[in-house]
Amino acid sequence: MRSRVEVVADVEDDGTPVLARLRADGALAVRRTGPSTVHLVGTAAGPLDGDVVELDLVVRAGARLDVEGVAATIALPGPGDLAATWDVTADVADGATLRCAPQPLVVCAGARLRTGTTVSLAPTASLDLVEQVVLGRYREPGGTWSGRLVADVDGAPVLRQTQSSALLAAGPALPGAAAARSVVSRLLLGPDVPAAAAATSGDAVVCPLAAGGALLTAYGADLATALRHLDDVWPTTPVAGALHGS
Amino acid sequence: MTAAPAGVAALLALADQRLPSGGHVHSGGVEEAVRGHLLTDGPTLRAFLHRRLLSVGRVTAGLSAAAVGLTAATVGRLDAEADARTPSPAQRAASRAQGRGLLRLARAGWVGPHVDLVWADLGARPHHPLVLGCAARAAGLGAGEAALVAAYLAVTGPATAAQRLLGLDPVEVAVATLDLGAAVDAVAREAAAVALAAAPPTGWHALPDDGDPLLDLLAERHAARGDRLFAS
Repeated sequence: MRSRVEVVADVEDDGTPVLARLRADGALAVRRTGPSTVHLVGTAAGPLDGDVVELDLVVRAGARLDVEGVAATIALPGPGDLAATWDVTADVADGATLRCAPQPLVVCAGARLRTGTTVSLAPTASLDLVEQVVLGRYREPGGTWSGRLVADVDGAPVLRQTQSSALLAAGPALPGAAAARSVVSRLLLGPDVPAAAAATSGDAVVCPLAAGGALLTAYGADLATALRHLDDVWPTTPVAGALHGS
Repeated sequence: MTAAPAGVAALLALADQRLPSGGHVHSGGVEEAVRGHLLTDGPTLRAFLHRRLLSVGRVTAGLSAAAVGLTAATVGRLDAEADARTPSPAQRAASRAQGRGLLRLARAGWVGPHVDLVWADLGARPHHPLVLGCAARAAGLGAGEAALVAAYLAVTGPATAAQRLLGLDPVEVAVATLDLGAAVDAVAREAAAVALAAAPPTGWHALPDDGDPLLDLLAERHAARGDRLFAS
């Protein structure tokens, strides 16, 4: 199945936020839930192997867009010969802000999923991007996942990073410790991101990027642990409560 | 028996850990992994080295292969591509420190990489894979060989550090490295193929960018310590 979501956020001259485009087909629906907020709603199971999902987000100059999800996305094994793909493309103009924090992506045993997020920012654009990946449901081994995160500001490379279940599963781990089944990444870019020094807390790390902004990464045996580590290392604007109502 | 292809001696020299470019003071995360009891013996060393090869090894192999074709006009872009693939500031600093060390040696060894590039074009603190690719080019080697040296060094430097820190049997450590030989070859071959297919500078977007949060975490924990034996 092929699914495609398109959202264009703009702002009128008097400051009123508008969604100039809001459409979805396939296994996803999109609902406007606030002046500049949309929620993604899964309307079918999956993605299953071979499914193609594309999210195309555009935030025009001075506008704001918040993208959230109502439930975790569960990648499942399927009849397709190829991995499922889940690609997000975002274009954020000058003075605009994109906050994209969908619910976790759970990669079930036997599923194959490749995710990609490509963000292009204008020089004064802002981004707060949260990605949560869980390998396997409770007491289930995870499927095969790789995820690429690409960010450019003003056409120059800021971040290029691929993570994969294969690497996370490769040792070493503490003797007797659970494998890292959950990874949370948060990319903060833009003029309002406070200059930060590199820091660690538990299994979380803040990496100030060479081109500005910061990449936060946390991992853990479960998602709640990873999120707790992530907020411990970046208490300025925590995400855990906002994401899970805790 | 066939003779070895031309340039093999230069290839061996660039991959030799005795090369005085400062690499021996970097453990590539091993010192912190030993402190955290992640790395304790031969089997955990093997796992660590394999994981490092599949992240740092892939990235540096791709960048080194791309750097073989570097020109004065594209140095800035490849430097930014290296930065964008190295989120950890401690790892960026380690890469630039080793780049400076290798540059000092390359300046003494070769007049310049090629007619379209002089050593000064690389700046004072270039990333190590950029210098490695340029040194390979100066020595008459190609992208495949540059990638091979980078992938090999991603494994052998940390292996030596682990041997020193844990007092492991040198034979066991050498065999661990030898056993990764096929994987090193494959990483280098794939990275060089991507680099050769990528049209510089915008095509460098496609160079390998495998990241490992564990190595980022170890690098930053290590950098925060006051009592380090290794620089990284």
